[in-house]
Amino acid sequence: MSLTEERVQLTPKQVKQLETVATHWKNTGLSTAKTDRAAAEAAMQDAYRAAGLKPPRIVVWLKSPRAGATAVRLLKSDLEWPHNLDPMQRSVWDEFWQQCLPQIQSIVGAERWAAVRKEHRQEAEKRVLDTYGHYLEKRVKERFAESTGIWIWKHIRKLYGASMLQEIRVDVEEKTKTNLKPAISQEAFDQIYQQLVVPVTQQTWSSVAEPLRAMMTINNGSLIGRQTWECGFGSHDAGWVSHYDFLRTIGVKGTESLDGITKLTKSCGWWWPYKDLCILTERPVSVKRDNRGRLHNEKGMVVRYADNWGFYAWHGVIVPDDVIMLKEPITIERIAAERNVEVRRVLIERFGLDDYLKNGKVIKIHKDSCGTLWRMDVEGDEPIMVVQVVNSTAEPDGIFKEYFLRVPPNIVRAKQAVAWTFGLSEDEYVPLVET
Amino acid sequence: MFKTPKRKIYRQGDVLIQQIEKLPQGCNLVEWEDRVILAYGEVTGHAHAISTNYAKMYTWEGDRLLEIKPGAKLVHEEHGTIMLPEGFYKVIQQREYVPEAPPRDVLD
Repeated sequence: MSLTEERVQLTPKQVKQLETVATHWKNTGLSTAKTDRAAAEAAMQDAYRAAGLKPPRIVVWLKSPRAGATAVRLLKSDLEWPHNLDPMQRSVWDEFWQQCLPQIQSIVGAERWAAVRKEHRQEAEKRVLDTYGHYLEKRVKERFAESTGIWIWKHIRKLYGASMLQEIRVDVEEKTKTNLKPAISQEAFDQIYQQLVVPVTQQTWSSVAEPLRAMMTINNGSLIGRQTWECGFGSHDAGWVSHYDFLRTIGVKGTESLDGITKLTKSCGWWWPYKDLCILTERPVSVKRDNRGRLHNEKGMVVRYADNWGFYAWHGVIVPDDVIMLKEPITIERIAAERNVEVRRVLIERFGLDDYLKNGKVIKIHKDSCGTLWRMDVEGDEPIMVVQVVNSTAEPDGIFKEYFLRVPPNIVRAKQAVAWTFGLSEDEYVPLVET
Repeated sequence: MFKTPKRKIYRQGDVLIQQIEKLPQGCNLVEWEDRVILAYGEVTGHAHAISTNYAKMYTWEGDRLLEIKPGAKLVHEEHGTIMLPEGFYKVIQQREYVPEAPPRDVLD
């Protein structure tokens, strides 16, 4: 038997299965189900072990990827003690701290913990009593709490260690891929890639995780500039993970070392693995998309997390919250003042193209039996070209409804415009019957 | 001097039916219960439809194709009925231009 014959080929049934599997992984990637913390922690430990590493001793759960990124930046900062945090950072800090404290105490052990407390207590007493006298017990306690806090914070930062993402995520995948490659036929590889990985990646990574990443960079408070992507993307890793998981389900051996990451993909959101600390975050509580899979919500955030972080978008265009929530009505002035061309287009659409045209300087370009072609010049953007057409069938009240359809700016005649809306040339567009 | 005969087209609101010569090999039949639905109105729920006694729908490379038997009527709640002659057709949904994006389907 030659080598090529031994390579895995997909049966017609398995090829057909790919579509169902893609749907399954797409749903996994877009999941807003409650995060299964226990499953995710077990999976995270598997992922560490698969990379030949000891699982971290400290595990912290946060509610959104932005909270995760904020915690990482605090860890990486040179802050001796986090004073002056903004409210968002403060709430991340509080959650992080509350979870770390008992874990650090258990890591250092009762004896050392007692010694540390005693040392800091004495030092605090001495410093405060020396300055203010014996009656300032309250101040002693404060000073004590702060100095032990600093000690623990120092300890956490000494302990958490380097990012293990390269080892856990990149190296393990590379090794798995190299081992599997000779066993899989190129055809099977291409089929899985084209029919599973590409659509799942498109639906989960390109349309959701990418905009999310962009928003985290833009909107992350005063610690901006220290953004780090030392993270796995949990459910948003569905695209590349689906490839190996499919091979596993059809009986290919050698994907075992990715089991942990696969389970993380199925159970939680973004995660940051360090040598002795892992930050895990929850999945979003809602993701809203239009029928093309682009982020879209007319009534609220498109992606929202349990800590209420999220953002707004209109058919895939990320927009400020006021464009969606319309706390104030959109005005011609607001549209004119908007400098981002994409946001301005959304504003025009929300304002109503018909009304916008009526309010602006519109030039009649052409008129024929099909309709009227209008152009409106827009500063800094391509002109808006619309064809005004009349319904062929009357409304119940006998009126023939008029409507506008936007067409490409290079159109010059009304009939050409209407033909374009059906993907036809002006010459081809001669309906025998039109109702 | 003859011009190439134009393909016959019929239009009902935002849906256009264009005649084609035959069905391509390997196109896939789409099952419909009692009406072959060409388009649903987004707001109204109205539909452009033909009885399954007179029409079969197929998909081919992203296009929707129709096989029409004599007597087929294309109906819609708000538009006049169109009698479609026997033959094969392609269904074209009206679309609208969106800057820097694929055109968007118009659904009334």
